[in-house]
Amino acid sequence: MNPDSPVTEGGVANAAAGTTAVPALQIEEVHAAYDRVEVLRGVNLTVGAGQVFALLGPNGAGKSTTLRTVGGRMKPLKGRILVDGKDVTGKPPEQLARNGICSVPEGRGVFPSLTVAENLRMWTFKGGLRRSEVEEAAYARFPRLAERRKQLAGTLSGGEQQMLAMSRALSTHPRLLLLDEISMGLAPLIVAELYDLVGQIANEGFAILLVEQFAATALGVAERAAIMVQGKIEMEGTPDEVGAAAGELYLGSGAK
Amino acid sequence: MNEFISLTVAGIATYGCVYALTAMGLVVTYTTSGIFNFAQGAIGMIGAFFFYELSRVWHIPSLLSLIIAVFIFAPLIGALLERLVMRRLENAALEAKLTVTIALLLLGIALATAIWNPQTVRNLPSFFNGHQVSVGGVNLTYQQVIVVLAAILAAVLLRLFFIYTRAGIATRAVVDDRDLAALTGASPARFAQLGWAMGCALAALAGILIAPQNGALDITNLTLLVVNGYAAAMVGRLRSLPLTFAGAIVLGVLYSYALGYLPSTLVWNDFANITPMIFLLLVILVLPQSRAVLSRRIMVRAPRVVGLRESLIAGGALILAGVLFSRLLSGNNLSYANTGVSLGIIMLSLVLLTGYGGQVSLCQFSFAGLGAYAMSKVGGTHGSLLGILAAMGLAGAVGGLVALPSLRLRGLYLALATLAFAQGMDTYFFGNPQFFGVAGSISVARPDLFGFQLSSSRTLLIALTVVFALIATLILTFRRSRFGRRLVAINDSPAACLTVGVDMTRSKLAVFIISAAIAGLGGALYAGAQTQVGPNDFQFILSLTLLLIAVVWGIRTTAGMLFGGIVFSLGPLLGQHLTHPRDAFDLLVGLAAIGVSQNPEGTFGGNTLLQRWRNSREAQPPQAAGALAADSGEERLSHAAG
Amino acid sequence: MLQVDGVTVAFGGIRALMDVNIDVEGNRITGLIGPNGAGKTTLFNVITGLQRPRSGRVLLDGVDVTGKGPRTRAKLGMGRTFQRLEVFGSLTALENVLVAVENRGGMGRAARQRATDLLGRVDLARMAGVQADVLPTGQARLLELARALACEPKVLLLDEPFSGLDANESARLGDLLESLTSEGLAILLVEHDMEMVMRLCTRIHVLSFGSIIAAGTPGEIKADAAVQEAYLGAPVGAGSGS
Repeated sequence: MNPDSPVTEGGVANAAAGTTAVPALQIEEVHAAYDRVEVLRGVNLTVGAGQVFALLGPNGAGKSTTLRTVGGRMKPLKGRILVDGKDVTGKPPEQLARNGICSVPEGRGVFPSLTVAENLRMWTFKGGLRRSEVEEAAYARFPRLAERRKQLAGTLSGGEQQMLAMSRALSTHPRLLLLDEISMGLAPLIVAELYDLVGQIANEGFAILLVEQFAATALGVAERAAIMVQGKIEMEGTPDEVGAAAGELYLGSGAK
Repeated sequence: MNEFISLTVAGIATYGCVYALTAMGLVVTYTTSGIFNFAQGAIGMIGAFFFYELSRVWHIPSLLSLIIAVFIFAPLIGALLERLVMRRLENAALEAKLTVTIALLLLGIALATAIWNPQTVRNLPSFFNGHQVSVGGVNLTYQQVIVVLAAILAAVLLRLFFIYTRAGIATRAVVDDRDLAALTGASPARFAQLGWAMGCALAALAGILIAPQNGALDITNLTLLVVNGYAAAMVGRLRSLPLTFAGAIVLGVLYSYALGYLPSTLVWNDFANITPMIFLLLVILVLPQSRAVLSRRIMVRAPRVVGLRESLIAGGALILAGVLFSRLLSGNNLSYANTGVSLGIIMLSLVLLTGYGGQVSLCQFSFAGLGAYAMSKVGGTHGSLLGILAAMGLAGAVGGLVALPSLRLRGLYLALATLAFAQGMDTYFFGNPQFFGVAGSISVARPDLFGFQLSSSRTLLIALTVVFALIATLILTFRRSRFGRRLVAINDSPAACLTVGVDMTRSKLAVFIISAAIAGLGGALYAGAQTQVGPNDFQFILSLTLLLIAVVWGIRTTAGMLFGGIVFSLGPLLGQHLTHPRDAFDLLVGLAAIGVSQNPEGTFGGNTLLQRWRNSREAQPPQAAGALAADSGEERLSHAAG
Repeated sequence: MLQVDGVTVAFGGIRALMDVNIDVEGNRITGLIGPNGAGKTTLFNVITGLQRPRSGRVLLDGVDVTGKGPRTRAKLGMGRTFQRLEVFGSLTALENVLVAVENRGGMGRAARQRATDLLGRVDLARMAGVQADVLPTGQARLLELARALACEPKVLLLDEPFSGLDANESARLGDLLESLTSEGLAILLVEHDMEMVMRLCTRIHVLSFGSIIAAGTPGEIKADAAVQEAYLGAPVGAGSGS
């Protein structure tokens, strides 16, 4: 439904030329609710192959719920979710994960009472991966994790924990990466580092849907963005267009 | 000195290691599924019987039998239980989770009784026929050596499994963060299933190893022996396997010393037997409690609060029915009705405590027994009103004493503390001739209220329905009072209670005392209805059944308790038609309670047809407002550290 | 009325609050804003006594309450609402408020009347008989407010009271908060609806990554570059140019 071709700069090697037409993720008219309280009220959103898409909006707008629904942690009441053109609506999270949808949930995407090495071993559940492959990929990118391989993840600093979480995205070659407020509770400097990394991952051609409270930070890596308000996509556009609207949204316009 | 060494060895080899096996099993199931398996003992018992069947009846070699029982049969049971029952309980209230495994416990006993006739004597010989070996001057039987080796081997294998295999790591990951585990592609349900399979295998191994040490196989004994493992699992706070192992060894040795060193008079002998219970109580009381004050939202609709007029009408109708049935029924049926209504009164004590207050007690029958005892001592041959007051007073006072140290306990810990108390009472009080008569029973007079002679069973039924109606109305009045509101509030959100300034300790203590007093009253009447009661009438296992039936019928409703009580009393009735009455009854109850996993609010609570009809008549909250409020629903579930 | 004096909190090795100082005065609304995960709710827990600080003091009306439990603080005049709702779910709306009224010594019909009045004050009178679990989020927040008011607080801590309200309800709640302060109440408001915060608060503190990075009038806060960055984040690769 969204004809403008997303694969301009980002999707180089991985997105084979022939398949560019199929978007990485299509969300069609999705409704979802907690108990009887409706949280998503007809969400439509398309992430192109290899595209980085930032989803912004105020607290409680339904951004995290959108990611939960795509990741399989919540069943939508209505609507369809397609990944690489295939309908995955209502599939359980473990099945989606094994098929290459990598969700890094809000907070820390690591197991605090497992060691770093054990956490890495968990990443192999994605299927088709050897333990050594995952470890090599992770340690090559983050030498600091190699130093701490025997340390419990819960005792790492916030930034290191987030590195460990991101190592899943890096080492498991996901089809689609879902990042939920990875900046939560981190020092601004570390947030900047983390998003440098997201930028690098993006350059490798993965499709990413990210939810972020720091609008400017997220828009810096995004190729496309949308603002969500009260369970619906309020506006969608280029990072610049969305950025202009976001400042007002976050700090208030004051005078109308 | 020599005695000291041999007692220590016996403590480790005979008790400690067996406790260790079963306790490690408990820890594994609890951590992976969040459910404390009360049926652990029953599974161990069934494992032992199955092993007997294979090795003694089918004459399969012992080792092969052991392998089949421990590595195939028991894990299969565990995996099935997880799949069919436990998986549905993930978000259920604590009492529903407890109830289901209690149901499994009773079901296990009932099934075993049906399959292996208790009249038949079955002896499992020790491994290597009790031959001994001398290690450093101490004689050990091969049996003991095998027990120690098995426990150590199991502990080592578990450790290796959890540290070096991907499945083991994934199991720990599920314990750590269930959602994240799913997001990495590891299915939490599958690993919970694995946890249950391993837990049941350990239970079976413990059962098989301990069976030869206690003479002929006995269903109840074997089931209860394993209960001592609870205490060891508590030492590990239901999490740590090494601490659990250590706790089990310490407990085993202490128990062995108690048996060996305490004078062998009756009183002290009983005391030695309750050392595991005392140990359990102490461990629970000493353990630091988590300060989890924030509430977990369990989305169940509370039953409607019944108004005074309505409860009076229902009470009146009940009394009328009592009058009617007192004319219609006769003989045995009349006494079933009497027993049923008095059991219903005991059950009412749970509505206040567990239904409204959310505190799970597994010792209500101990309070009932205390009530019966006081009635028999004070009530005299005519059953004076003073006896009733004494029954309520004694039960209430002891209830207060039990509650005082337990007030800081929550949920499962409180339930286990009351269980330890109940088991202690079984051995030390009810089983003690000093209290319960050399003949093992005491006679309790029927109350003589305001000049009404209740010696006739017909008048007794009317009187009992009057008492039931009164107490039920009282409880419903409590619910509408300040006290009742506060109770429910404390159960719903301790954090909000703190910030509103509610004194939670006082309310919790008060409800425990009132509930115990009601159970005491019920116990006195129950005993009076039977005229003779013995220690078996107040066994702790009955407290478990009581909770079970209460939950099945809807623990937040008083009407449910009446039906529950009557169902409870019908156990013996089945006896006229079946060979193993008690167990057929348990079988039914067990099956019904597994139904709890489908409808955790019970028959009279939750989404009954009646409730749905009422809901449809109630004014619905405006939908427009609901929709607008919708978006922040996600915050409720999010983990914003904020 | 309420002083937070050098409060520091750490969970394990990760610090959640770092030397936080806030003054909340009577007769006005003080705002506390900051990105998710900055430590706002932790600060509320420290102030109400649900969380012990590693160092620092909390003073209520000049009295040091740092060592006191939450119950004592409630008695001394501290009321709060929760971001993640903590209503008494199986009680009706009226009963929710009644628990608090009765805890202040209210009895019988008078207590019921007072609870009804309080529900009316937050516009929930028609919901009196509805079970609290069934209330939509916005109304449940209002219910928590009514319950907190029933404790006759001197200081009221509100954790995102506006989220989940529609525009009309928001406006009315804003008016209510203003009228409460005019009666002498001190309010500390955590809120993400900036328009509301700017309108209501006389002074705003900005918490970011556990520290107060700015404090001032709404105008000052809006103009503050550090605040802008705390909220919107720094653009990626601004310096490194990848």
